[in-house]
Amino acid sequence: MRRRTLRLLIAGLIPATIALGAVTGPVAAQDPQTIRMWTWSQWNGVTGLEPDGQPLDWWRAAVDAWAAEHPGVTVEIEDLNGQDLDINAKYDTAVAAGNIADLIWVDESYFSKYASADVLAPIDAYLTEEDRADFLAKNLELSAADGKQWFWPYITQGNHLAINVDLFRAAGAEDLLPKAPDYTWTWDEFVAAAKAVTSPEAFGVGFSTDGAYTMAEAWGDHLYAQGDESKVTINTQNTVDAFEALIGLTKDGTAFPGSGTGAVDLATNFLQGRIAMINSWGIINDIEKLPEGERFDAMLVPFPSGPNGEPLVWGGVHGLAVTKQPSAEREALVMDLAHYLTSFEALKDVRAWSKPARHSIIAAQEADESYLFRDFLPMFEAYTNVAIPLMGQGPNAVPVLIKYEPLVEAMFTGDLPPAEALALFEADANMILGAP
Amino acid sequence: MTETNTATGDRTLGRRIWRARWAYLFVLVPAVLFLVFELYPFIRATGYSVSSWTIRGPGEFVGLENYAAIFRDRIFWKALMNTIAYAVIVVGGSVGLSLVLSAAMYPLATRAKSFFKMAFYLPAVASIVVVALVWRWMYQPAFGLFNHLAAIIGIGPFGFLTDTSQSLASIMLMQIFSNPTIGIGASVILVLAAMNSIPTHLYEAAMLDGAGTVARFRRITVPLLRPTVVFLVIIGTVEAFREFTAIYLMTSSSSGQALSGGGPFYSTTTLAYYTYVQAFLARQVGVASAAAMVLLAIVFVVAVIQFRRFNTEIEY
Amino acid sequence: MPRILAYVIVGSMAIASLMPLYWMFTTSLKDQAAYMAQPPEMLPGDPTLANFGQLFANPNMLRWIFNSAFVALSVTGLNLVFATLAGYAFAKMSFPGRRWMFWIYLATMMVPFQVTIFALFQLMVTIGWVNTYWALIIPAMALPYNVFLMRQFMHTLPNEILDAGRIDGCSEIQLVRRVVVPMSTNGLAVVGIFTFITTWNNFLWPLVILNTEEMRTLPIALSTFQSTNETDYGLLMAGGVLMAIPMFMIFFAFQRYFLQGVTFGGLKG
Repeated sequence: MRRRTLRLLIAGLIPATIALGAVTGPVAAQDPQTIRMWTWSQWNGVTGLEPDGQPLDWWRAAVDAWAAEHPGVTVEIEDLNGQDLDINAKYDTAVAAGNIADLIWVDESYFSKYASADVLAPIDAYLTEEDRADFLAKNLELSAADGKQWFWPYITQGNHLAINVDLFRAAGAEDLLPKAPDYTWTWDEFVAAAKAVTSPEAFGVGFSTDGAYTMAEAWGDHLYAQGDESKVTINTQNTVDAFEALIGLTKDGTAFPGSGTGAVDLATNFLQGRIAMINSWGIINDIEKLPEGERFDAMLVPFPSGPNGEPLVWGGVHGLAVTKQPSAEREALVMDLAHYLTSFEALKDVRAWSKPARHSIIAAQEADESYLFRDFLPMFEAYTNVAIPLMGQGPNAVPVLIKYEPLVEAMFTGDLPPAEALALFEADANMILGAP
Repeated sequence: MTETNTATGDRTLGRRIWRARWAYLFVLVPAVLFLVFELYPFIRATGYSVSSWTIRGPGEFVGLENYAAIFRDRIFWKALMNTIAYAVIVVGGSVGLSLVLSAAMYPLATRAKSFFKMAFYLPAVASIVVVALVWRWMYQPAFGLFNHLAAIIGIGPFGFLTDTSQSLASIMLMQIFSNPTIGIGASVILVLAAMNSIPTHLYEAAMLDGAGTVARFRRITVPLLRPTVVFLVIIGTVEAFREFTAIYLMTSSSSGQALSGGGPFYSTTTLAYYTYVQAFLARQVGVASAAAMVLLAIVFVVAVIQFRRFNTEIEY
Repeated sequence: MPRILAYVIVGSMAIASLMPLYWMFTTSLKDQAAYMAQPPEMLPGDPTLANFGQLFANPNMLRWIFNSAFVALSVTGLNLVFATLAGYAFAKMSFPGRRWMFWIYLATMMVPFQVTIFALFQLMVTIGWVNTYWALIIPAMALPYNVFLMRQFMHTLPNEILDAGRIDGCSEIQLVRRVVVPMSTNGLAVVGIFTFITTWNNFLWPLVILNTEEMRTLPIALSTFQSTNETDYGLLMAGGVLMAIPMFMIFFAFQRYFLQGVTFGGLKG
C-alpha cells in the first residue's frame, strides 16, 4: 500500500518538476528573419489527389519552394482550421497583446476591422497589372476598402444551393432543374422542382438559418444597401413575403423538419439522399468521398430569384493579409511570400475542389480533362458572378449578424411572425450601427 | 491596551505562525495558484466590466454603463430566466431522481447495486462532447432515434432541439442523465454512500418504536442525508450556472457559420452562453464581464444561503 | 417495498441511462449508410472497424491521445499531491488565518469560469503560454473542488491516531505520508478519478487556449469533426469510444473504492 502511494506521489511530482523548469526556462528571442503565418488549410495533400494527404501539405510545399529562393528566412505556419469566429477571437486577443502574426488569413467580412484599426498593410504597391487582370473582379472588389486593396485573394467563397440530381432523375423531374450557362431559376420554378422531388423517402429542400436568410435576399432586399452599412434595409414587405414563402415550405412538408434553425443536420441527410437540395458552403468534396454506389450526380446553383429579386449567392473571398511590419524591407519580404502563395505558379497544379480566386487557375483546371470536378467549374463561375457580400464588410458585421440569426430562427419556430421579427431586428441592428 | 501587550501579541502570533510553518507549506501551492490564476484575473475582469473595449484592449472607464447595457438587453433577461429554470430543474430533477433511485436500490443485493451504480455512472465517464453529439443526433426531428421510438408507441413527432418550447428541456434531460458532476450518476453514488453510513441501530430503535418503512425513511434517512443533498445542490447549482459545452455543441449550426448557438431564438441561451457570445462573438468584453459579474453575484447568493444551512447540520 | 418494483424502476432507468452509450458503440461500428438507415439498426448488421482505421489514419491521432493523456495524468497527479496536503492542513492543522483562507478558497469554487476566462486568456498571452501544455496544467494543478473534497474526507479521520503519531516524533510531512495517505485511499481514489475525468473531458478552456492542430486535446479534435460541412457520426462515435475506453478502464480498476463514494460531515472546523 505504502509503495503504491509513493508511486502515486512520484507520478505527480515529475510533471510538477518539468513544469517548474518550463516556467523558469529562458524565453526564445524573436528571430528577425522568421515570418509567422496563420493560415487555414482548404484541402488535404499538395494537389488534393494524394490518398493520404494532410491539411498543411500544400502550404508546407509552397513555403519550401518560396524559401528556397530566400535563404536565411524561416516561415512558421500555424493552421487555424476553425470557424471564422474562433479565428476572430484569436486575432483580437493577439492584436490586443501585440503579437499578431506577419501573415494572417482574412475574409471579406472582417478584414476591414483590422484595416481600419491600422493592423494591416495595404497591398496595392505589390499588386501587378497582371494580378489585377487575373484575380476575379469580384474578389478584388471584396478585398478593397477606402480605395485600397487589403489582402491577397486565395479562394472564392459562396453559400449556394447544392442539388442531388439523381433524386430528380428518379422522380422524372430532371428537366425542372436550372440550366446552363447561368443556372438561374425563379422562386416558382424552384418550388415546383422541390415539390416534384418530395417523397416519403426524401424532402425537397433543407436549409439552415444562414441558408434561409440568404434565400430571402434573393427576393430583392438586402441586409444593407450596397456600399452603405450605416443602417439595415432588410425590413420590407418583400422580405416578409420571402420568409413567409420559406416557412410555407416547412409547413407543407417540402422542407426538411427543423429547417431554418441551427440544430438541423443537413449535410449527412443530403449525402444519404434524404434531402434533394440544401444550402452549403461546399459539399462536393464530401460527395466524392462517398463509397461507390452511394455517390450521386450533383449541381451547384444560385438561390432562386423572388418576384422582385435576382438570383444570388452569399459570396466572399478568403485570402492572406500582411500585418504592419517594422521596416519597408521586411514588408516587401512578407508581401513577396503572400504574393507567391496566392500566385498561379503556386496553385496551378491543385486538383482539389479549390474554388480558385484567379482566372488563370480556373483555366488550368478546365484544361485538365482528368480533373474530377471539371464539370462543376462552369457552375462555380456562374454562381460566383451573382455573389454578394451578404453580411456586410464593416466592423459591425458580426455583432449585427448575431442579432439576425436568432430572429430568423424565431420565424421558423413560429415564435414570431416575420414582420415582427424583422422589425425587432431592425431596431437592434440600428442601435448597434448608431443609426436613427 | 498597552504597547507591551501588543508587542507580546505580535510575538505570539509570529511564534504561532512559525509553529504552523508546515501548514503554510501545505497550502502554499493552492494559495499561489489562487492569487495568480483566480484573484488576479478576477480583479482584471472587474476592471473590464467598467471599461469600454477597443480592438487593442480595455479602453476608458465607463462607470456602470456596461451593467446598464445588460439590464436594458432583453436577451440578458431571457438568459437569466433560462439559467434559473435550467439550474432548478436539472439540479432538482437530478437530486430528486437520485434519492428515489437510491432508496429503491438500497435494499437490493450488493451485486445488483454495483451494477446499477455503474449503469448510472458510465455516461458521466464518457466525454460530454461525444455524449452531447449523440443526443443531438438522437434528437434529430426527421430520421432521429427518439422520434422513431416515439412513432412506435404512437406519439410525436417532436421538434426537440429545433422547437423553442422543447429545446431547453431536451438539454436538461440529457444533462440529468449524463452530466459528470450534476447528473444522476455521481449523485446516486454519493447518496448511497451516505445511506450506508447511517448507523443501523437508529433503524432498529425506530423499528422497536413501531415506525414503518416510510416513517423510518422520513425521520431517519432524509435528515441524515441532508449534508450530502445540500452538497449536491451547491455543487450542482454552481455547475448549472456555468453550463456551456453541451449548449454550444447541441444548438450551434454545423453549416459553417456558427453564429446561431443558444437557440433556436435564444431558447437555450443561458447566462454563461450569453457571456461567451458577448465576449467572443460580439467582442463586447466589457459587457461580457459585467454579465459574468451578475452571474457570480447570483451564484454567490445561492451558495451562501445553502452553505448556511449546510453549516448548521449536525455532524454524525 | 416490493423488490420487483424496485428492480423495474431502477432497471428501466439504467437502460435509459446506458442507451446513448450503446448508440455510440454500435454507431462506431457502422458505415454512413448503416447509421443513417431507416428504421434505425438497433444492432449493426454489418459491423466494420473502418471508422477506427480512418481515425488512426490521421497522423495527429496519436499526438492527440498523448496530449490528452499527458495533461490529464499531470493534472491528476498534481491534484492528488496538493489536494491531500491542503486538505489535510485545512482539516487537521491549526494555523492563523485557516478559517478565512478556507472560506475565500471555497468562494473561488463559486466563481463561474466565464468571469475570469477572458482575463486568464490575456494573462496567458502575456506570459506566453497560449497553445502550451502549461496553460492546461498549471492553473488546474490544485482545483478548489478537490481541496474541498479532501478536506471533507480528512475531517473524518480520528484525531487520536494523528496525535499518537505526533507523540512518536513524526513531522507533519511524515504524518501525511505514513498515516494520512494510507487512511485516505477512498478519498484519493475519488479525487483522482473525478480529476482525471474532468480534465480528460475538459472543453471550453482548451478550445480557447489551444490553436494548432498538434496541440489539440481529444475533445477539441473530436468537436472539429462536426464543425466542417458534414458530421461524420461514425467517425465521431469511434473517437468517442476511443476517448471512453481509458475512462472505463480506470473506472473499473478503481470502482471498488469509487463506488463506495465519500460521505460528508459538517463544515465546522
